[in-house]
Amino acid sequence: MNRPNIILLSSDQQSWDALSGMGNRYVDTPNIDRIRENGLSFSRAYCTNPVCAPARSTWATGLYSSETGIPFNDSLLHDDLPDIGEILSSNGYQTVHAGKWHVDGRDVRKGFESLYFGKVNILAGGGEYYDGPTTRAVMDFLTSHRTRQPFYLQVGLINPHDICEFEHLNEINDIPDPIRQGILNESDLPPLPENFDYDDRETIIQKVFRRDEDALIHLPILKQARHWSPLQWRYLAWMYYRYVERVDVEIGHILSAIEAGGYQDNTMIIFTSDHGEAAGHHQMFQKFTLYEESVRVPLTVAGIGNKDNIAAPGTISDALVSGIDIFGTICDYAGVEPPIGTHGRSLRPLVEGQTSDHRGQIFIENNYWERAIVNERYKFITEYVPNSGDEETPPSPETHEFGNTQLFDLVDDPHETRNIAGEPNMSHIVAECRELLIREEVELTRRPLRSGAPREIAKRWAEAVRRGWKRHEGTA
Amino acid sequence: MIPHWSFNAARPEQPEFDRQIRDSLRSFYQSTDSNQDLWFREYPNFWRGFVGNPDLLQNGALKISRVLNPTGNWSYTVDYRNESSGEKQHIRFGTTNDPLRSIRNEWLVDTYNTTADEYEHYSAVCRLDSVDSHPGSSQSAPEPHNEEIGQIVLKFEVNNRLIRIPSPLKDCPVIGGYALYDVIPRFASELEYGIPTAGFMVLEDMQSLLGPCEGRSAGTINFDPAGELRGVCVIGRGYPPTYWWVDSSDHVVIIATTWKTLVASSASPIFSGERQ
Repeated sequence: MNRPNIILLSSDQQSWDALSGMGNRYVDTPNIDRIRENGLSFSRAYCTNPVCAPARSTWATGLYSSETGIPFNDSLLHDDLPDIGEILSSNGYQTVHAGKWHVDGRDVRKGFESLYFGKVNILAGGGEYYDGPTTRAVMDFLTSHRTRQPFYLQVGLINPHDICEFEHLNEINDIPDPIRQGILNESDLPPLPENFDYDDRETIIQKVFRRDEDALIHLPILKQARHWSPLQWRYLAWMYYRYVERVDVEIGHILSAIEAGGYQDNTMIIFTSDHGEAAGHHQMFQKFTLYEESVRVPLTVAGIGNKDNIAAPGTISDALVSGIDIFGTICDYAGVEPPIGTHGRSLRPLVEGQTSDHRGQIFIENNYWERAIVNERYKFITEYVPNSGDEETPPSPETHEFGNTQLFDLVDDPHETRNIAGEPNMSHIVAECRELLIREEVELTRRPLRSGAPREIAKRWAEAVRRGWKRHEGTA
Repeated sequence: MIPHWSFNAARPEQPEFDRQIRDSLRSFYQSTDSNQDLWFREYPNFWRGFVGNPDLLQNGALKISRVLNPTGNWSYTVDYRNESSGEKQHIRFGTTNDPLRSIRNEWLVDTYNTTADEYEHYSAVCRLDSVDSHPGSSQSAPEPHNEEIGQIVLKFEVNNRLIRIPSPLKDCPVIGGYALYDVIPRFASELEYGIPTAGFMVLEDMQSLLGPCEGRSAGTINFDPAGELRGVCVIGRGYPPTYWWVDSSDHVVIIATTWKTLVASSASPIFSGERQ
């Protein structure tokens, strides 16, 4: 397939296993499963940062969030970085966008024709408002597009992100107990996750951002969640799956429109999500953590008609792949050389069966100072200790000390229930993982955050983390 | 008395929420309009539609007109506008006169987009068919490989192309989403007597088949000026719980979803003009 049409089709906040095709019997996603039946899926795909804007800045640029200027939400993309729309449009592709973009600091219309972007530009959420119009805009485009020029279409569907708004509503209203109300039977609900009870030997960043009495992320929800019963946690997961099913319906419409437009034989579809959702795992909600449910996402490269370029449609690869690879994969299919300095490796050789190896480890950033390395067997999580007064440039091993560590054996403990970083026989693994992390970090080109709100946020957070270090001194 | 939790979005950012939804209800109960059209004002639950002015909290509007034809079937005309999405929809569909107001083929969805984007208009002539056999290659649409005999297939004709959307559900009545406003009061009465609702599919926005769904009782509440309201919670596959509140005259007067609260109102223009 020479210079095919390319569609990046994304859901938002969908965990790797929140689909029926992964054997999850509490959710029904026939349309996502259909993509999977027509492509190569990756069971170990990880985002680069489990937050919307940072993860999406990686899709847009092929860079890690410490490089893009967007290491956290509400920070801004560096002006001089080209995005995928600009790159492909200057290389013969018609570049088209519909739905969520969330790469703050960059007008999507700079590199794309905007099919649909909301009355006021779509920000983080609003699947109920925007996914229907996004789908209609895409159906209209796919049934009226007439040029011979290949297109790159990125479709940013928002659900199941509406689970966030469900949680925000319950900042002011206690989350209902659906059993007591008679709305649901207990047997309707998914069980509590195996890792609901978690090992609290976490990083200081995790405590300060997500656990403490004055946690930096979504404190009002956290205050409510502290009082949720096990049934209410299970109801949260049940709700989450309904939003997953809702976006699956939109995806079905888009797949059918691809066929109706006659594009099924010359279009590569990349389906993924920007990050996952905790849904009660580790007694956590939303994202902003480095646990599997938050960082591991669905990812499939498929063609729903002609599958000549897919070596084994319907199969699942356990190769380690990353959101950093999306950009390079799109460039590869488009026949475009990625800009110098971008990272990531095209998934195309895996999809075409030329290799089964891809990368030895995954590098993930979170909450500005937290980092993870995932390799074949282990997940290593660590953090940088904020220095005094230099929060403007993302931290690195050259400028910052490491703080606490977590180590999980993903083979023996896939639900990450036991932090084994402190066990004497694991010290060499910890050292090896730290070395892998440093090797990844030295490849990055960091620049100061853009002035204004991003620097203010980093400064405010750094002060809170320093207070957190004093409060938690001596903990693991 | 604060609003029931299912429609209590009176958070600090939108302090007017409580007053405005009650004002809307008052206008409904004070209306002397004799025609049978249903009017609803839409209010945001979470973000205020990005408008920034509490005087303009209303974020959308819905009008449902329906007439019983001499043939004994219902004809619905729906106008819906949402200020966050920027879409204005005009929908026409028909139903039978059975308790579930079952959808009749075919229906029309016309959508105009008011955002500053290339998508301006989406027009679909829609049908609902079951798959009796696989279509031959002479069809204008390519032969689908994902349809099974007996399945329901949504068919949209858009820009002279036929979009075929298979639904995995079989043998389940289909209720047009806007016909639920007439079906829910019956559910409320039945649930009051412990009669469970049968499974049904909802054709949300007359575009997306969701379900199978069921209605479950959400109890009763008192809410001024509506008085006692009976609640029906509709849940199903792809259908997060939606709370419908029905008054003693069998009018649906409040509907709460994750993002929005629709409240009955008097007849009024959808909007007098574009928001800034």
